[in-house]
Amino acid sequence: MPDSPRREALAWSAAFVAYVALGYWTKGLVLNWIVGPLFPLFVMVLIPRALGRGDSR
Amino acid sequence: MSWAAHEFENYFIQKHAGIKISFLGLAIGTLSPDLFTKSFVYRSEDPAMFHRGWPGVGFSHSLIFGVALALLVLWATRSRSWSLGILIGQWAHVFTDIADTAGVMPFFPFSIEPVTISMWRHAASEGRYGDAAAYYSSLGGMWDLFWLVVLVLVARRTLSADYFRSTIVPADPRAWAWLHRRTGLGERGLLTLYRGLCFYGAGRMVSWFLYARFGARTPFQPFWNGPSYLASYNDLSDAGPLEVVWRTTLGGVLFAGFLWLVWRLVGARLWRRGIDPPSVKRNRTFF
Repeated sequence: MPDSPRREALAWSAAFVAYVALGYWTKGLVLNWIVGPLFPLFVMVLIPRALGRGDSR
Repeated sequence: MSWAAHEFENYFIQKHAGIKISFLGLAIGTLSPDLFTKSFVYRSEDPAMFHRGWPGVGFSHSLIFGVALALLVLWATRSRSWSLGILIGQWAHVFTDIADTAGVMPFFPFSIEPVTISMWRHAASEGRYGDAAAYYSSLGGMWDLFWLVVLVLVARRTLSADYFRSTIVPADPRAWAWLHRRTGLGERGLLTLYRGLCFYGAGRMVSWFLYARFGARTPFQPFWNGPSYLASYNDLSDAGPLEVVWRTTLGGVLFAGFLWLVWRLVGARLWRRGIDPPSVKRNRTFF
Protein backbone atom coordinates (compact mmCIF):
# COMPACT_ATOMS: atom_id res chain seq x y z
CA MET A 1 0.00 0.00 0.00
CA PRO A 2 1.14 3.55 -0.60
CA ASP A 3 2.76 5.10 2.48
CA SER A 4 2.79 8.80 1.59
CA PRO A 5 0.13 11.19 0.31
CA ARG A 6 2.00 11.52 -2.98
CA ARG A 7 2.24 7.78 -3.52
CA GLU A 8 -1.36 7.38 -2.46
CA ALA A 9 -2.49 9.99 -4.99
CA LEU A 10 -0.41 8.23 -7.63
CA ALA A 11 -1.99 4.87 -6.78
CA TRP A 12 -5.50 6.32 -6.99
CA SER A 13 -4.68 7.98 -10.30
CA ALA A 14 -3.27 4.76 -11.74
CA ALA A 15 -6.31 2.81 -10.55
CA PHE A 16 -8.57 5.43 -12.10
CA VAL A 17 -6.82 5.32 -15.48
CA ALA A 18 -6.96 1.50 -15.42
CA TYR A 19 -10.66 1.57 -14.56
CA VAL A 20 -11.52 4.08 -17.29
CA ALA A 21 -9.55 2.08 -19.86
CA LEU A 22 -11.17 -1.18 -18.79
CA GLY A 23 -14.55 0.53 -18.69
CA TYR A 24 -14.14 1.90 -22.19
CA TRP A 25 -13.28 -1.52 -23.62
CA THR A 26 -15.49 -3.83 -21.58
CA LYS A 27 -18.30 -1.36 -20.76
CA GLY A 28 -20.99 -3.10 -18.69
CA LEU A 29 -18.53 -5.69 -17.38
CA VAL A 30 -16.82 -3.24 -15.04
CA LEU A 31 -19.03 -0.15 -15.27
CA ASN A 32 -21.65 -1.54 -12.94
CA TRP A 33 -22.57 -0.90 -9.31
CA ILE A 34 -20.95 -4.09 -8.04
CA VAL A 35 -17.53 -4.06 -9.73
CA GLY A 36 -17.20 -0.25 -9.85
CA PRO A 37 -17.16 0.64 -6.14
CA LEU A 38 -15.07 -2.45 -5.31
CA PHE A 39 -12.49 -1.91 -8.06
CA PRO A 40 -10.09 0.32 -6.03
CA LEU A 41 -10.34 -2.07 -3.10
CA PHE A 42 -9.25 -4.94 -5.33
CA VAL A 43 -6.41 -3.21 -7.17
CA MET A 44 -5.08 -1.14 -4.27
CA VAL A 45 -5.60 -3.38 -1.27
CA LEU A 46 -6.61 -6.97 -1.92
CA ILE A 47 -4.35 -7.82 -4.86
CA PRO A 48 -1.23 -6.25 -3.26
CA ARG A 49 -2.09 -8.06 -0.03
CA ALA A 50 -2.45 -11.37 -1.87
CA LEU A 51 0.92 -10.75 -3.47
CA GLY A 52 2.38 -10.07 -0.04
CA ARG A 53 3.07 -6.39 -0.71
CA GLY A 54 0.40 -4.81 1.43
CA ASP A 55 -0.33 -4.66 5.10
CA SER A 56 -3.68 -5.45 6.63
CA ARG A 57 -3.78 -2.56 9.06
CA MET B 1 -31.83 8.86 -14.93
CA SER B 2 -28.48 10.00 -13.70
CA TRP B 3 -25.44 7.86 -14.30
CA ALA B 4 -23.02 9.28 -11.73
CA ALA B 5 -24.71 12.17 -9.90
CA HIS B 6 -26.35 9.72 -7.49
CA GLU B 7 -22.91 8.57 -6.33
CA PHE B 8 -21.50 12.09 -5.84
CA GLU B 9 -24.58 13.38 -4.01
CA ASN B 10 -23.98 10.92 -1.18
CA TYR B 11 -20.81 12.69 -0.03
CA PHE B 12 -22.48 16.09 -0.23
CA ILE B 13 -25.43 14.89 1.86
CA GLN B 14 -23.11 13.17 4.32
CA LYS B 15 -21.17 16.41 4.82
CA HIS B 16 -24.36 18.17 5.89
CA ALA B 17 -25.88 15.37 7.96
CA GLY B 18 -22.55 14.45 9.55
CA ILE B 19 -22.56 11.82 12.24
CA LYS B 20 -26.37 11.55 12.32
CA ILE B 21 -26.75 9.24 9.31
CA SER B 22 -24.99 6.10 8.11
CA PHE B 23 -23.04 6.46 4.87
CA LEU B 24 -23.65 2.81 4.02
CA GLY B 25 -27.38 3.32 4.55
CA LEU B 26 -27.24 6.45 2.43
CA ALA B 27 -25.44 4.61 -0.38
CA ILE B 28 -27.92 1.72 -0.36
CA GLY B 29 -30.81 4.19 -0.27
CA THR B 30 -29.41 6.02 -3.28
CA LEU B 31 -28.97 2.81 -5.23
CA SER B 32 -32.30 1.29 -4.15
CA PRO B 33 -34.65 2.65 -6.85
CA ASP B 34 -32.60 1.02 -9.62
CA LEU B 35 -31.03 -1.84 -7.67
CA PHE B 36 -33.27 -4.67 -8.80
CA THR B 37 -35.15 -3.03 -11.63
CA LYS B 38 -32.59 -1.52 -13.98
CA SER B 39 -31.52 -4.74 -15.70
CA PHE B 40 -35.16 -5.43 -16.64
CA VAL B 41 -35.69 -1.92 -17.98
CA TYR B 42 -33.64 -2.51 -21.14
CA ARG B 43 -35.49 -5.75 -21.88
CA SER B 44 -38.98 -4.33 -21.59
CA GLU B 45 -41.14 -3.30 -24.53
CA ASP B 46 -41.59 0.24 -23.25
CA PRO B 47 -38.49 0.98 -21.14
CA ALA B 48 -39.48 4.49 -20.03
CA MET B 49 -42.95 3.39 -18.94
CA PHE B 50 -41.63 0.27 -17.21
CA HIS B 51 -38.85 2.20 -15.45
CA ARG B 52 -40.79 5.24 -14.24
CA GLY B 53 -44.48 4.73 -14.89
CA TRP B 54 -47.44 2.79 -13.66
CA PRO B 55 -48.08 -0.01 -14.51
CA GLY B 56 -44.37 -0.73 -14.21
CA VAL B 57 -41.73 -0.42 -11.51
CA GLY B 58 -41.99 3.37 -11.36
CA PHE B 59 -43.10 3.10 -7.73
CA SER B 60 -39.43 2.47 -6.86
CA HIS B 61 -38.88 6.14 -7.80
CA SER B 62 -41.56 7.42 -5.42
CA LEU B 63 -41.16 8.96 -1.97
CA ILE B 64 -43.38 6.34 -0.39
CA PHE B 65 -40.93 3.63 -1.46
CA GLY B 66 -38.20 5.34 0.58
CA VAL B 67 -40.52 5.64 3.57
CA ALA B 68 -41.41 1.93 3.37
CA LEU B 69 -37.74 0.91 3.11
CA ALA B 70 -36.72 3.19 5.98
CA LEU B 71 -39.48 1.90 8.25
CA LEU B 72 -38.64 -1.69 7.38
CA VAL B 73 -34.97 -1.12 8.22
CA LEU B 74 -35.86 0.72 11.44
CA TRP B 75 -38.11 -2.16 12.47
CA ALA B 76 -35.57 -4.87 11.57
CA THR B 77 -32.34 -3.26 12.81
CA ARG B 78 -33.53 -0.52 15.21
CA SER B 79 -30.78 1.62 13.69
CA ARG B 80 -31.87 5.24 13.36
CA SER B 81 -28.80 6.24 11.35
CA TRP B 82 -29.40 3.48 8.78
CA SER B 83 -33.09 4.26 8.55
CA LEU B 84 -32.48 7.98 8.00
CA GLY B 85 -29.65 7.25 5.56
CA ILE B 86 -31.86 5.03 3.42
CA LEU B 87 -34.72 7.53 3.46
CA ILE B 88 -32.58 10.52 2.50
CA GLY B 89 -30.60 8.55 -0.11
CA GLN B 90 -33.73 7.22 -1.80
CA TRP B 91 -35.42 10.63 -1.77
CA ALA B 92 -32.29 12.25 -3.26
CA HIS B 93 -32.43 9.73 -6.11
CA VAL B 94 -36.11 10.49 -6.73
CA PHE B 95 -35.57 14.27 -6.84
CA THR B 96 -32.55 13.92 -9.13
CA ASP B 97 -34.47 11.80 -11.65
CA ILE B 98 -37.08 14.54 -12.06
CA ALA B 99 -34.59 16.05 -14.50
CA ASP B 100 -35.12 13.61 -17.40
CA THR B 101 -38.12 13.50 -19.73
CA ALA B 102 -39.70 10.36 -18.24
CA GLY B 103 -39.70 12.00 -14.79
CA VAL B 104 -40.84 10.29 -11.60
CA MET B 105 -44.09 9.81 -9.72
CA PRO B 106 -43.01 11.31 -6.36
CA PHE B 107 -46.43 10.99 -4.74
CA PHE B 108 -47.39 7.54 -5.99
CA PRO B 109 -49.97 6.05 -5.38
CA PHE B 110 -51.81 9.31 -4.64
CA SER B 111 -50.76 10.69 -8.00
CA ILE B 112 -49.39 8.72 -10.93
CA GLU B 113 -48.67 11.90 -12.84
CA PRO B 114 -44.99 11.98 -13.82
CA VAL B 115 -43.16 15.09 -12.69
CA THR B 116 -40.34 16.24 -14.94
CA ILE B 117 -38.35 19.32 -15.88
CA SER B 118 -37.25 17.62 -19.15
CA MET B 119 -33.63 18.67 -18.88
CA TRP B 120 -32.48 15.67 -20.93
CA ARG B 121 -34.21 12.78 -22.72
CA HIS B 122 -34.78 9.43 -21.06
CA ALA B 123 -33.09 7.11 -23.54
CA ALA B 124 -33.43 3.58 -22.15
CA SER B 125 -35.28 2.65 -25.36
CA GLU B 126 -31.87 2.90 -27.11
CA GLY B 127 -30.52 -0.05 -25.11
CA ARG B 128 -27.87 0.21 -22.41
CA TYR B 129 -25.03 1.50 -24.59
CA GLY B 130 -27.29 3.81 -26.58
CA ASP B 131 -28.71 5.12 -23.31
CA ALA B 132 -25.23 5.87 -21.99
CA ALA B 133 -24.18 7.55 -25.24
CA ALA B 134 -27.35 9.70 -25.29
CA TYR B 135 -26.97 10.66 -21.64
CA TYR B 136 -23.35 11.77 -22.11
CA SER B 137 -24.36 13.70 -25.23
CA SER B 138 -26.95 15.69 -23.29
CA LEU B 139 -27.16 17.93 -20.24
CA GLY B 140 -27.21 14.71 -18.19
CA GLY B 141 -23.45 14.44 -18.51
CA MET B 142 -23.15 18.08 -17.46
CA TRP B 143 -25.33 17.33 -14.46
CA ASP B 144 -22.89 14.61 -13.37
CA LEU B 145 -19.98 16.99 -13.88
CA PHE B 146 -21.78 19.64 -11.82
CA TRP B 147 -22.09 17.25 -8.88
CA LEU B 148 -18.46 16.20 -9.19
CA VAL B 149 -17.44 19.87 -9.06
CA VAL B 150 -19.73 20.44 -6.05
CA LEU B 151 -18.14 17.45 -4.34
CA VAL B 152 -14.61 18.73 -5.01
CA LEU B 153 -15.37 22.33 -4.03
CA VAL B 154 -17.70 21.84 -1.10
CA ALA B 155 -17.41 18.33 0.25
CA ARG B 156 -13.91 17.04 -0.59
CA ARG B 157 -13.11 16.82 3.12
CA THR B 158 -15.56 13.91 3.35
CA LEU B 159 -13.07 11.82 1.36
CA SER B 160 -10.24 12.32 3.86
CA ALA B 161 -9.02 9.68 6.28
CA ASP B 162 -9.69 12.07 9.19
CA TYR B 163 -13.32 12.49 8.20
CA PHE B 164 -13.70 8.74 7.79
CA ARG B 165 -12.28 8.25 11.30
CA SER B 166 -14.17 11.07 13.00
CA THR B 167 -17.58 10.89 11.28
CA ILE B 168 -18.21 7.93 8.99
CA VAL B 169 -17.18 5.17 11.42
CA PRO B 170 -18.69 6.75 14.58
CA ALA B 171 -21.98 7.23 12.68
CA ASP B 172 -22.15 3.51 12.01
CA PRO B 173 -19.66 1.65 14.23
CA ARG B 174 -21.49 -1.69 14.16
CA ALA B 175 -21.50 -2.00 10.35
CA TRP B 176 -17.87 -0.97 9.91
CA ALA B 177 -16.78 -3.28 12.74
CA TRP B 178 -18.73 -6.10 11.10
CA LEU B 179 -17.05 -5.41 7.76
CA HIS B 180 -13.67 -5.38 9.51
CA ARG B 181 -14.35 -8.74 11.18
CA ARG B 182 -15.82 -10.44 8.11
CA THR B 183 -13.31 -9.24 5.54
CA GLY B 184 -10.18 -8.75 7.63
CA LEU B 185 -9.78 -5.29 6.12
CA GLY B 186 -7.88 -2.73 8.14
CA GLU B 187 -8.54 0.99 8.19
CA ARG B 188 -6.92 1.54 4.80
CA GLY B 189 -9.06 -1.13 3.21
CA LEU B 190 -12.26 0.20 4.73
CA LEU B 191 -11.33 3.75 3.73
CA THR B 192 -10.74 2.55 0.16
CA LEU B 193 -14.14 0.87 0.22
CA TYR B 194 -15.74 4.09 1.47
CA ARG B 195 -14.12 6.13 -1.29
CA GLY B 196 -15.07 3.50 -3.85
CA LEU B 197 -18.47 4.99 -4.62
CA CYS B 198 -16.92 8.32 -5.61
CA PHE B 199 -14.31 6.49 -7.67
CA TYR B 200 -17.06 4.52 -9.40
CA GLY B 201 -19.06 7.66 -10.20
CA ALA B 202 -16.06 9.49 -11.65
CA GLY B 203 -14.82 6.44 -13.56
CA ARG B 204 -18.24 5.71 -14.97
CA MET B 205 -18.69 9.31 -16.03
CA VAL B 206 -15.37 9.51 -17.88
CA SER B 207 -15.64 6.04 -19.48
CA TRP B 208 -19.14 6.54 -20.84
CA PHE B 209 -18.32 10.08 -21.99
CA LEU B 210 -15.35 8.73 -23.94
CA TYR B 211 -17.52 5.95 -25.33
CA ALA B 212 -20.12 8.49 -26.50
CA ARG B 213 -17.45 10.59 -28.24
CA PHE B 214 -15.17 7.93 -29.71
CA GLY B 215 -17.16 4.68 -29.64
CA ALA B 216 -20.78 5.53 -30.44
CA ARG B 217 -19.74 8.88 -31.98
CA THR B 218 -23.02 10.51 -31.05
CA PRO B 219 -23.30 14.28 -31.51
CA PHE B 220 -22.62 16.29 -28.35
CA GLN B 221 -25.82 18.27 -27.74
CA PRO B 222 -25.81 19.55 -24.14
CA PHE B 223 -28.95 21.66 -24.58
CA TRP B 224 -32.26 21.62 -22.73
CA ASN B 225 -34.38 18.63 -23.79
CA GLY B 226 -31.48 17.10 -25.74
CA PRO B 227 -29.99 15.22 -27.32
CA SER B 228 -32.06 16.09 -30.37
CA TYR B 229 -30.74 13.21 -32.47
CA LEU B 230 -33.07 10.90 -30.50
CA ALA B 231 -36.42 10.45 -32.21
CA SER B 232 -38.47 10.04 -29.03
CA TYR B 233 -38.91 12.33 -26.02
CA ASN B 234 -40.15 9.44 -23.85
CA ASP B 235 -42.40 11.82 -21.99
CA LEU B 236 -44.88 9.57 -20.16
CA SER B 237 -47.63 12.14 -19.81
CA ASP B 238 -49.72 14.01 -22.32
CA ALA B 239 -51.22 16.27 -19.65
CA GLY B 240 -50.83 20.04 -19.86
CA PRO B 241 -48.79 22.00 -17.29
CA LEU B 242 -51.82 23.03 -15.23
CA GLU B 243 -53.12 19.48 -15.06
CA VAL B 244 -49.68 18.28 -13.93
CA VAL B 245 -49.53 20.97 -11.23
CA TRP B 246 -53.05 20.22 -10.01
CA ARG B 247 -52.62 16.42 -9.90
CA THR B 248 -49.19 16.67 -8.31
CA THR B 249 -50.37 19.17 -5.69
CA LEU B 250 -53.31 16.97 -4.79
CA GLY B 251 -51.03 13.92 -4.66
CA GLY B 252 -48.58 15.85 -2.49
CA VAL B 253 -51.25 16.88 0.00
CA LEU B 254 -52.59 13.34 0.22
CA PHE B 255 -49.05 12.00 0.60
CA ALA B 256 -48.32 14.47 3.42
CA GLY B 257 -51.48 13.33 5.20
CA PHE B 258 -50.52 9.70 4.71
CA LEU B 259 -47.02 10.39 6.03
CA TRP B 260 -48.47 12.05 9.15
CA LEU B 261 -50.76 9.06 9.72
CA VAL B 262 -47.94 6.53 9.27
CA TRP B 263 -45.77 8.52 11.67
CA ARG B 264 -48.51 8.61 14.32
CA LEU B 265 -49.43 4.94 13.95
CA VAL B 266 -46.05 3.27 13.35
CA GLY B 267 -43.11 5.60 12.73
CA ALA B 268 -42.95 7.41 16.08
CA ARG B 269 -43.07 4.12 18.01
CA LEU B 270 -40.33 2.55 15.88
CA TRP B 271 -38.23 5.72 16.17
CA ARG B 272 -38.53 5.73 19.99
CA ARG B 273 -37.40 2.11 20.28
CA GLY B 274 -34.62 2.78 17.73
CA ILE B 275 -31.04 3.14 18.85
CA ASP B 276 -28.22 5.52 18.03
CA PRO B 277 -24.48 4.91 18.12
CA PRO B 278 -22.94 6.07 21.44
CA SER B 279 -21.43 9.24 19.98
CA VAL B 280 -24.67 10.46 18.38
CA LYS B 281 -26.75 12.95 20.32
CA ARG B 282 -30.02 13.99 18.70
CA ASN B 283 -32.24 16.87 19.71
CA ARG B 284 -36.02 16.68 19.42
CA THR B 285 -35.89 16.62 15.63
CA PHE B 286 -34.35 13.83 13.56
CA PHE B 287 -31.05 15.67 13.51
